[in-house]
Amino acid sequence: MDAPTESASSTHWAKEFESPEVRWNICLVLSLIVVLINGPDAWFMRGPSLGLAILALVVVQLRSSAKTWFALALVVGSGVVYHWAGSDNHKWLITYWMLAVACACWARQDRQEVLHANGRYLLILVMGLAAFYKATTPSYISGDFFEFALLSDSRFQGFTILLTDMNSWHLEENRRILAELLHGTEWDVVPRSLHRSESTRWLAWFLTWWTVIIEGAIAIVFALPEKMRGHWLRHALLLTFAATTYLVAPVEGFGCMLMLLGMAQCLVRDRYFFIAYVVGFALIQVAGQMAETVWRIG
Amino acid sequence: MPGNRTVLKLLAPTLLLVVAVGQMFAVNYWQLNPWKGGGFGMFTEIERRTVKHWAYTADDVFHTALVPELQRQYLQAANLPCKSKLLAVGHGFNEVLKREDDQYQSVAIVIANIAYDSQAGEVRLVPFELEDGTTFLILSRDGEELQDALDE
Repeated sequence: MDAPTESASSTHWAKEFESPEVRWNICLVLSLIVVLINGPDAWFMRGPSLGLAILALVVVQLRSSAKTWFALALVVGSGVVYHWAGSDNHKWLITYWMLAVACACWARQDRQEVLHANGRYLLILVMGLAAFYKATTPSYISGDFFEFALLSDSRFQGFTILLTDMNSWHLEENRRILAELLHGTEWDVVPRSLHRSESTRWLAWFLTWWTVIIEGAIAIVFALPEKMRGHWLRHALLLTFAATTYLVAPVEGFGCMLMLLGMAQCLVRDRYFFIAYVVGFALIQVAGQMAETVWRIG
Repeated sequence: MPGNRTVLKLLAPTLLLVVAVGQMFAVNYWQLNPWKGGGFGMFTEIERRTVKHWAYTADDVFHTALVPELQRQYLQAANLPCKSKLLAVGHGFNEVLKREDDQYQSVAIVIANIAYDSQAGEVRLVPFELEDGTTFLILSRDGEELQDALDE
Protein backbone atom coordinates (compact mmCIF):
# COMPACT_ATOMS: atom_id res chain seq x y z
CA MET A 1 0.00 0.00 0.00
CA ASP A 2 2.98 2.27 0.55
CA ALA A 3 3.89 2.72 -3.08
CA PRO A 4 0.48 3.91 -4.34
CA THR A 5 0.24 6.32 -1.39
CA GLU A 6 3.63 7.85 -2.27
CA SER A 7 2.67 8.08 -5.93
CA ALA A 8 -0.62 9.74 -5.06
CA SER A 9 1.05 12.25 -2.78
CA SER A 10 3.70 13.16 -5.37
CA THR A 11 0.99 13.65 -7.99
CA HIS A 12 -0.89 15.86 -5.56
CA TRP A 13 2.30 17.83 -4.93
CA ALA A 14 2.84 18.42 -8.66
CA LYS A 15 -0.85 19.28 -9.10
CA GLU A 16 -0.35 22.30 -6.87
CA PHE A 17 1.43 23.89 -9.81
CA GLU A 18 -1.58 23.44 -12.09
CA SER A 19 -3.25 26.28 -10.26
CA PRO A 20 -2.73 29.61 -12.11
CA GLU A 21 -2.96 31.37 -8.73
CA VAL A 22 -0.04 29.35 -7.31
CA ARG A 23 2.13 29.91 -10.40
CA TRP A 24 1.28 33.63 -10.41
CA ASN A 25 2.24 34.03 -6.75
CA ILE A 26 5.50 32.14 -7.16
CA CYS A 27 6.41 34.35 -10.15
CA LEU A 28 5.75 37.49 -8.14
CA VAL A 29 7.65 36.36 -5.05
CA LEU A 30 10.68 35.29 -7.12
CA SER A 31 10.56 38.60 -9.03
CA LEU A 32 10.81 40.45 -5.71
CA ILE A 33 13.71 38.23 -4.65
CA VAL A 34 15.52 39.19 -7.87
CA VAL A 35 15.07 42.88 -6.98
CA LEU A 36 16.33 42.26 -3.44
CA ILE A 37 19.48 40.52 -4.67
CA ASN A 38 20.14 42.55 -7.84
CA GLY A 39 18.82 45.99 -6.99
CA PRO A 40 20.00 49.19 -8.69
CA ASP A 41 23.66 50.22 -8.46
CA ALA A 42 22.84 53.88 -7.75
CA TRP A 43 23.08 54.29 -3.95
CA PHE A 44 20.10 56.66 -3.73
CA MET A 45 17.80 54.06 -5.33
CA ARG A 46 19.07 51.03 -3.40
CA GLY A 47 17.19 51.89 -0.20
CA PRO A 48 13.81 52.59 -1.84
CA SER A 49 14.00 49.45 -4.02
CA LEU A 50 14.88 47.24 -1.03
CA GLY A 51 12.14 48.80 1.09
CA LEU A 52 9.48 48.43 -1.59
CA ALA A 53 10.47 44.82 -2.38
CA ILE A 54 10.41 43.81 1.30
CA LEU A 55 7.03 45.49 1.84
CA ALA A 56 5.58 43.74 -1.21
CA LEU A 57 6.92 40.40 -0.01
CA VAL A 58 5.24 40.82 3.37
CA VAL A 59 1.94 42.49 2.38
CA VAL A 60 -0.07 40.41 -0.13
CA GLN A 61 -2.28 43.34 -1.23
CA LEU A 62 0.78 45.38 -2.14
CA ARG A 63 2.22 42.46 -4.08
CA SER A 64 -0.75 42.25 -6.43
CA SER A 65 -1.10 46.01 -6.89
CA ALA A 66 -0.05 47.51 -10.23
CA LYS A 67 1.05 50.68 -8.40
CA THR A 68 3.66 48.75 -6.40
CA TRP A 69 5.20 47.28 -9.55
CA PHE A 70 5.10 50.59 -11.43
CA ALA A 71 6.90 52.14 -8.44
CA LEU A 72 9.48 49.33 -8.50
CA ALA A 73 9.94 49.80 -12.27
CA LEU A 74 10.44 53.52 -11.69
CA VAL A 75 12.92 53.08 -8.83
CA VAL A 76 14.97 50.29 -10.45
CA GLY A 77 14.75 52.03 -13.84
CA SER A 78 15.95 55.37 -12.44
CA GLY A 79 19.03 53.66 -11.00
CA VAL A 80 19.69 51.99 -14.36
CA VAL A 81 19.22 55.17 -16.40
CA TYR A 82 21.39 57.17 -13.97
CA HIS A 83 24.29 54.80 -14.81
CA TRP A 84 23.00 54.06 -18.31
CA ALA A 85 26.39 53.59 -19.97
CA GLY A 86 27.59 51.34 -17.16
CA SER A 87 24.43 49.41 -16.32
CA ASP A 88 24.57 45.66 -16.90
CA ASN A 89 21.97 44.12 -19.17
CA HIS A 90 20.26 42.16 -16.40
CA LYS A 91 19.51 45.42 -14.58
CA TRP A 92 17.76 46.72 -17.69
CA LEU A 93 15.90 43.41 -17.99
CA ILE A 94 14.77 43.59 -14.35
CA THR A 95 13.35 47.07 -15.05
CA TYR A 96 11.37 45.81 -18.07
CA TRP A 97 10.14 42.86 -16.02
CA MET A 98 8.88 45.13 -13.22
CA LEU A 99 7.00 47.10 -15.88
CA ALA A 100 5.64 43.85 -17.38
CA VAL A 101 4.34 42.66 -13.99
CA ALA A 102 2.78 46.10 -13.42
CA CYS A 103 0.99 45.83 -16.77
CA ALA A 104 -0.18 42.32 -15.87
CA CYS A 105 -1.55 43.47 -12.50
CA TRP A 106 -3.29 46.34 -14.31
CA ALA A 107 -5.03 43.84 -16.62
CA ARG A 108 -6.70 42.17 -13.58
CA GLN A 109 -8.57 39.10 -14.90
CA ASP A 110 -6.26 38.87 -17.94
CA ARG A 111 -3.11 39.15 -15.84
CA GLN A 112 -1.78 35.66 -16.72
CA GLU A 113 -2.23 36.32 -20.42
CA VAL A 114 -0.51 39.72 -20.26
CA LEU A 115 2.41 38.37 -18.20
CA HIS A 116 2.73 35.41 -20.58
CA ALA A 117 2.85 37.72 -23.63
CA ASN A 118 5.36 40.09 -22.02
CA GLY A 119 7.62 37.22 -21.00
CA ARG A 120 7.48 35.72 -24.48
CA TYR A 121 8.30 38.97 -26.31
CA LEU A 122 11.07 39.83 -23.86
CA LEU A 123 12.63 36.38 -24.33
CA ILE A 124 12.47 36.65 -28.13
CA LEU A 125 14.13 40.09 -28.04
CA VAL A 126 16.80 39.27 -25.44
CA MET A 127 17.86 36.04 -27.10
CA GLY A 128 17.49 37.42 -30.62
CA LEU A 129 19.61 40.50 -29.84
CA ALA A 130 22.26 38.43 -28.05
CA ALA A 131 22.52 36.05 -31.03
CA PHE A 132 22.52 38.95 -33.51
CA TYR A 133 25.35 40.72 -31.64
CA LYS A 134 27.43 37.55 -31.57
CA ALA A 135 26.80 36.62 -35.20
CA THR A 136 27.81 40.10 -36.41
CA THR A 137 30.95 40.54 -34.30
CA PRO A 138 34.07 39.27 -36.14
CA SER A 139 36.14 38.73 -32.98
CA TYR A 140 33.34 36.56 -31.58
CA ILE A 141 32.74 34.45 -34.69
CA SER A 142 36.49 33.82 -35.09
CA GLY A 143 36.50 32.16 -31.64
CA ASP A 144 38.95 34.73 -30.27
CA PHE A 145 36.57 36.05 -27.62
CA PHE A 146 35.95 32.67 -26.00
CA GLU A 147 39.61 31.62 -26.31
CA PHE A 148 40.66 34.77 -24.47
CA ALA A 149 37.92 34.24 -21.86
CA LEU A 150 38.95 30.63 -21.25
CA LEU A 151 42.60 31.66 -20.91
CA SER A 152 42.14 34.64 -18.64
CA ASP A 153 38.69 34.95 -17.05
CA SER A 154 38.61 33.56 -13.51
CA ARG A 155 34.91 32.69 -13.94
CA PHE A 156 35.89 30.05 -16.51
CA GLN A 157 38.92 28.69 -14.65
CA GLY A 158 37.35 25.48 -13.28
CA PHE A 159 35.74 24.73 -16.62
CA THR A 160 39.00 25.32 -18.56
CA ILE A 161 41.03 23.10 -16.21
CA LEU A 162 38.39 20.36 -16.42
CA LEU A 163 38.13 20.22 -20.21
CA THR A 164 41.56 21.28 -21.52
CA ASP A 165 45.19 20.49 -20.75
CA MET A 166 45.72 23.90 -19.12
CA ASN A 167 46.39 23.94 -15.38
CA SER A 168 45.79 26.57 -12.72
CA TRP A 169 49.42 27.81 -12.91
CA HIS A 170 49.01 28.59 -16.66
CA LEU A 171 45.79 30.49 -16.04
CA GLU A 172 47.14 32.44 -13.06
CA GLU A 173 50.18 33.39 -15.11
CA ASN A 174 47.90 34.64 -17.90
CA ARG A 175 45.98 36.79 -15.43
CA ARG A 176 49.26 38.16 -14.02
CA ILE A 177 50.38 39.13 -17.54
CA LEU A 178 47.10 40.93 -18.16
CA ALA A 179 47.22 42.70 -14.79
CA GLU A 180 50.71 43.96 -15.63
CA LEU A 181 49.49 45.31 -18.96
CA LEU A 182 46.39 46.91 -17.47
CA HIS A 183 47.86 48.31 -14.26
CA GLY A 184 51.61 48.44 -14.91
CA THR A 185 53.60 51.67 -14.79
CA GLU A 186 54.64 51.71 -18.46
CA TRP A 187 52.66 52.23 -21.62
CA ASP A 188 53.76 48.85 -22.90
CA VAL A 189 53.50 48.60 -26.68
CA VAL A 190 55.24 45.21 -26.81
CA PRO A 191 52.71 42.34 -27.09
CA ARG A 192 52.84 39.68 -24.35
CA SER A 193 52.34 35.98 -24.98
CA LEU A 194 49.65 34.03 -23.13
CA HIS A 195 49.93 30.37 -22.18
CA ARG A 196 47.52 28.41 -24.35
CA SER A 197 46.93 25.03 -25.94
CA GLU A 198 45.24 23.49 -28.96
CA SER A 199 42.49 22.01 -26.75
CA THR A 200 41.57 25.51 -25.53
CA ARG A 201 41.18 26.62 -29.13
CA TRP A 202 38.84 23.70 -29.86
CA LEU A 203 36.79 24.30 -26.72
CA ALA A 204 36.52 28.01 -27.61
CA TRP A 205 35.35 27.09 -31.10
CA PHE A 206 32.67 24.78 -29.66
CA LEU A 207 31.46 27.34 -27.11
CA THR A 208 31.32 30.06 -29.78
CA TRP A 209 28.98 28.13 -32.04
CA TRP A 210 27.00 26.40 -29.30
CA THR A 211 26.14 29.74 -27.69
CA VAL A 212 25.11 31.59 -30.84
CA ILE A 213 23.10 28.62 -32.14
CA ILE A 214 21.18 27.95 -28.92
CA GLU A 215 20.45 31.65 -28.33
CA GLY A 216 19.20 32.01 -31.90
CA ALA A 217 17.18 28.80 -31.62
CA ILE A 218 15.47 29.97 -28.42
CA ALA A 219 14.50 33.26 -30.09
CA ILE A 220 13.08 31.37 -33.09
CA VAL A 221 11.07 28.73 -31.18
CA PHE A 222 9.52 31.35 -28.91
CA ALA A 223 8.66 33.45 -31.97
CA LEU A 224 6.84 30.57 -33.67
CA PRO A 225 3.02 30.49 -33.28
CA GLU A 226 2.13 29.16 -29.85
CA LYS A 227 -0.44 26.68 -31.15
CA MET A 228 2.21 24.75 -33.07
CA ARG A 229 3.03 21.25 -31.85
CA GLY A 230 6.19 20.66 -29.86
CA HIS A 231 5.77 23.61 -27.53
CA TRP A 232 7.84 21.65 -24.98
CA LEU A 233 10.88 22.33 -27.15
CA ARG A 234 10.83 25.99 -26.00
CA HIS A 235 11.17 25.04 -22.36
CA ALA A 236 13.67 22.27 -23.09
CA LEU A 237 15.92 24.69 -25.03
CA LEU A 238 15.70 27.47 -22.45
CA LEU A 239 16.47 25.08 -19.58
CA THR A 240 19.35 23.52 -21.55
CA PHE A 241 20.75 26.99 -22.20
CA ALA A 242 20.53 27.83 -18.49
CA ALA A 243 22.18 24.56 -17.43
CA THR A 244 25.03 24.84 -19.95
CA THR A 245 25.62 28.55 -19.42
CA TYR A 246 25.06 29.50 -15.80
CA LEU A 247 26.65 26.45 -14.23
CA VAL A 248 29.79 27.18 -16.30
CA ALA A 249 29.85 30.95 -15.82
CA PRO A 250 27.50 31.93 -12.97
CA VAL A 251 25.80 35.23 -13.81
CA GLU A 252 22.95 34.90 -11.36
CA GLY A 253 21.06 38.13 -12.11
CA PHE A 254 20.59 37.34 -15.78
CA GLY A 255 20.11 33.60 -15.27
CA CYS A 256 17.35 34.11 -12.70
CA MET A 257 15.59 36.62 -14.95
CA LEU A 258 15.56 34.07 -17.80
CA MET A 259 14.05 31.49 -15.43
CA LEU A 260 11.31 34.00 -14.52
CA LEU A 261 10.56 34.70 -18.19
CA GLY A 262 10.32 30.93 -18.70
CA MET A 263 7.97 30.51 -15.73
CA ALA A 264 5.65 33.13 -17.21
CA GLN A 265 5.33 30.91 -20.33
CA CYS A 266 4.11 27.85 -18.41
CA LEU A 267 0.51 26.71 -18.78
CA VAL A 268 -1.24 23.95 -16.82
CA ARG A 269 0.28 21.23 -19.05
CA ASP A 270 3.78 22.66 -18.34
CA ARG A 271 3.71 22.18 -14.56
CA TYR A 272 6.87 20.04 -14.57
CA PHE A 273 8.70 22.67 -16.62
CA PHE A 274 7.49 25.27 -14.14
CA ILE A 275 9.02 23.26 -11.31
CA ALA A 276 12.24 22.91 -13.34
CA TYR A 277 12.40 26.72 -13.75
CA VAL A 278 11.94 27.22 -9.99
CA VAL A 279 14.71 24.68 -9.27
CA GLY A 280 16.86 26.35 -11.95
CA PHE A 281 16.30 29.74 -10.30
CA ALA A 282 17.48 28.36 -6.95
CA LEU A 283 20.47 26.50 -8.42
CA ILE A 284 21.68 29.54 -10.36
CA GLN A 285 21.54 31.63 -7.18
CA VAL A 286 23.38 28.99 -5.17
CA ALA A 287 26.03 28.44 -7.88
CA GLY A 288 26.50 32.22 -8.22
CA GLN A 289 26.91 32.78 -4.49
CA MET A 290 29.30 29.82 -4.19
CA ALA A 291 31.42 31.08 -7.08
CA GLU A 292 31.54 34.56 -5.55
CA THR A 293 32.70 33.11 -2.23
CA VAL A 294 35.40 31.05 -3.96
CA TRP A 295 36.67 34.14 -5.87
CA ARG A 296 36.75 36.19 -2.67
CA ILE A 297 38.71 33.48 -0.84
CA GLY A 298 40.96 33.04 -3.90
CA MET B 1 -10.73 46.53 -23.93
CA PRO B 2 -8.63 44.80 -26.62
CA GLY B 3 -6.66 47.94 -27.54
CA ASN B 4 -5.69 48.56 -23.95
CA ARG B 5 -4.64 44.91 -23.56
CA THR B 6 -2.34 45.19 -26.57
CA VAL B 7 -0.61 48.17 -24.97
CA LEU B 8 -0.16 46.23 -21.72
CA LYS B 9 1.35 43.31 -23.64
CA LEU B 10 3.74 45.40 -25.73
CA LEU B 11 4.83 48.28 -23.48
CA ALA B 12 7.84 46.61 -21.84
CA PRO B 13 9.09 44.77 -24.98
CA THR B 14 8.81 47.99 -27.02
CA LEU B 15 10.84 49.88 -24.45
CA LEU B 16 13.49 47.15 -24.56
CA LEU B 17 13.66 47.36 -28.35
CA VAL B 18 13.96 51.16 -28.38
CA VAL B 19 16.78 51.12 -25.79
CA ALA B 20 18.57 48.28 -27.65
CA VAL B 21 18.49 50.17 -30.96
CA GLY B 22 19.89 53.26 -29.20
CA GLN B 23 22.59 51.13 -27.56
CA MET B 24 23.62 49.69 -30.94
CA PHE B 25 23.93 53.21 -32.31
CA ALA B 26 26.06 54.21 -29.30
CA VAL B 27 28.28 51.13 -29.69
CA ASN B 28 28.89 51.82 -33.39
CA TYR B 29 29.30 55.61 -33.28
CA TRP B 30 30.37 56.45 -29.71
CA GLN B 31 32.44 53.35 -28.83
CA LEU B 32 30.06 52.42 -25.98
CA ASN B 33 31.05 49.17 -24.27
CA PRO B 34 28.81 46.55 -25.97
CA TRP B 35 28.44 44.68 -22.65
CA LYS B 36 26.60 47.67 -21.18
CA GLY B 37 23.70 49.95 -22.00
CA GLY B 38 20.83 47.48 -22.51
CA GLY B 39 21.60 46.12 -25.99
CA PHE B 40 22.40 42.55 -24.84
CA GLY B 41 25.86 42.47 -26.40
CA MET B 42 27.47 40.78 -23.39
CA PHE B 43 30.00 37.95 -23.91
CA THR B 44 30.67 39.19 -27.44
CA GLU B 45 33.86 41.26 -27.31
CA ILE B 46 36.83 41.40 -24.96
CA GLU B 47 35.96 43.76 -22.14
CA ARG B 48 39.12 44.81 -20.30
CA ARG B 49 38.80 48.57 -20.66
CA THR B 50 40.99 50.60 -18.37
CA VAL B 51 42.23 54.13 -17.72
CA LYS B 52 45.94 54.83 -17.20
CA HIS B 53 47.53 58.08 -16.10
CA TRP B 54 50.96 59.54 -15.50
CA ALA B 55 52.30 62.74 -13.95
CA TYR B 56 55.23 64.73 -15.33
CA THR B 57 57.73 66.79 -13.38
CA ALA B 58 60.35 68.98 -15.11
CA ASP B 59 62.68 66.03 -15.72
CA ASP B 60 60.77 62.88 -14.85
CA VAL B 61 57.53 60.99 -15.38
CA PHE B 62 55.84 58.76 -12.87
CA HIS B 63 52.87 56.46 -13.20
CA THR B 64 50.22 56.51 -10.52
CA ALA B 65 47.77 53.77 -9.66
CA LEU B 66 44.04 54.41 -10.11
CA VAL B 67 42.64 56.64 -7.38
CA PRO B 68 39.62 55.16 -5.52
CA GLU B 69 37.81 58.51 -5.29
CA LEU B 70 37.79 58.78 -9.12
CA GLN B 71 36.28 55.30 -9.57
CA ARG B 72 33.03 56.66 -11.01
CA GLN B 73 34.84 58.86 -13.57
CA TYR B 74 37.09 55.94 -14.59
CA LEU B 75 34.11 53.67 -15.18
CA GLN B 76 32.23 56.30 -17.16
CA ALA B 77 35.26 57.07 -19.32
CA ALA B 78 36.02 53.39 -19.96
CA ASN B 79 32.44 52.46 -20.81
CA LEU B 80 31.81 55.45 -23.05
CA PRO B 81 35.18 56.84 -24.17
CA CYS B 82 34.84 60.48 -25.28
CA LYS B 83 36.76 63.72 -24.84
CA SER B 84 34.51 65.14 -22.12
CA LYS B 85 34.83 62.01 -19.96
CA LEU B 86 38.60 61.85 -20.49
CA LEU B 87 38.78 65.52 -19.47
CA ALA B 88 36.70 64.76 -16.36
CA VAL B 89 39.22 62.09 -15.35
CA GLY B 90 42.10 64.46 -16.13
CA HIS B 91 40.70 67.29 -14.02
CA GLY B 92 39.88 64.89 -11.17
CA PHE B 93 43.38 63.43 -11.31
CA ASN B 94 44.86 66.95 -11.30
CA GLU B 95 42.89 67.85 -8.17
CA VAL B 96 44.07 64.72 -6.36
CA LEU B 97 47.72 65.31 -7.35
CA LYS B 98 47.63 68.99 -6.33
CA ARG B 99 46.84 67.93 -2.77
CA GLU B 100 49.79 65.54 -2.62
CA ASP B 101 52.53 66.83 -4.93
CA ASP B 102 53.79 70.34 -5.60
CA GLN B 103 56.48 69.29 -8.11
CA TYR B 104 54.48 67.92 -11.00
CA GLN B 105 53.72 70.09 -14.04
CA SER B 106 51.32 68.07 -16.19
CA VAL B 107 49.36 64.84 -16.43
CA ALA B 108 48.74 62.37 -19.29
CA ILE B 109 45.62 60.16 -19.46
CA VAL B 110 44.57 57.39 -21.84
CA ILE B 111 41.64 54.95 -22.12
CA ALA B 112 42.60 51.54 -23.49
CA ASN B 113 41.39 47.99 -23.99
CA ILE B 114 43.11 44.63 -24.38
CA ALA B 115 43.40 43.25 -27.93
CA TYR B 116 44.01 39.51 -28.40
CA ASP B 117 45.82 38.15 -31.46
CA SER B 118 44.82 34.48 -31.60
CA GLN B 119 47.29 33.66 -34.39
CA ALA B 120 50.25 34.65 -32.23
CA GLY B 121 48.58 34.04 -28.87
CA GLU B 122 49.53 37.57 -27.82
CA VAL B 123 47.81 40.40 -25.97
CA ARG B 124 48.52 44.11 -26.10
CA LEU B 125 46.97 47.38 -24.97
CA VAL B 126 45.23 49.45 -27.63
CA PRO B 127 44.28 53.07 -26.89
CA PHE B 128 40.85 54.40 -27.83
CA GLU B 129 40.91 57.14 -30.43
CA LEU B 130 38.36 59.77 -29.41
CA GLU B 131 36.10 61.91 -31.58
CA ASP B 132 38.76 64.52 -32.36
CA GLY B 133 41.56 62.01 -32.88
CA THR B 134 42.86 62.27 -29.31
CA THR B 135 44.42 59.16 -27.79
CA PHE B 136 46.66 60.50 -25.02
CA LEU B 137 45.29 63.63 -23.35
CA ILE B 138 47.88 65.87 -21.72
CA LEU B 139 46.76 68.55 -19.25
CA SER B 140 48.81 71.16 -17.47
CA ARG B 141 48.67 71.48 -13.68
CA ASP B 142 46.10 74.26 -14.23
CA GLY B 143 43.89 72.00 -16.33
CA GLU B 144 44.83 73.48 -19.69
CA GLU B 145 44.96 71.02 -22.56
CA LEU B 146 48.54 70.94 -23.86
CA GLN B 147 48.80 68.41 -26.66
CA ASP B 148 48.18 64.82 -27.47
CA ALA B 149 50.28 62.40 -29.42
CA LEU B 150 50.83 58.64 -29.17
CA ASP B 151 54.61 59.25 -29.37
CA GLU B 152 54.54 61.25 -26.13
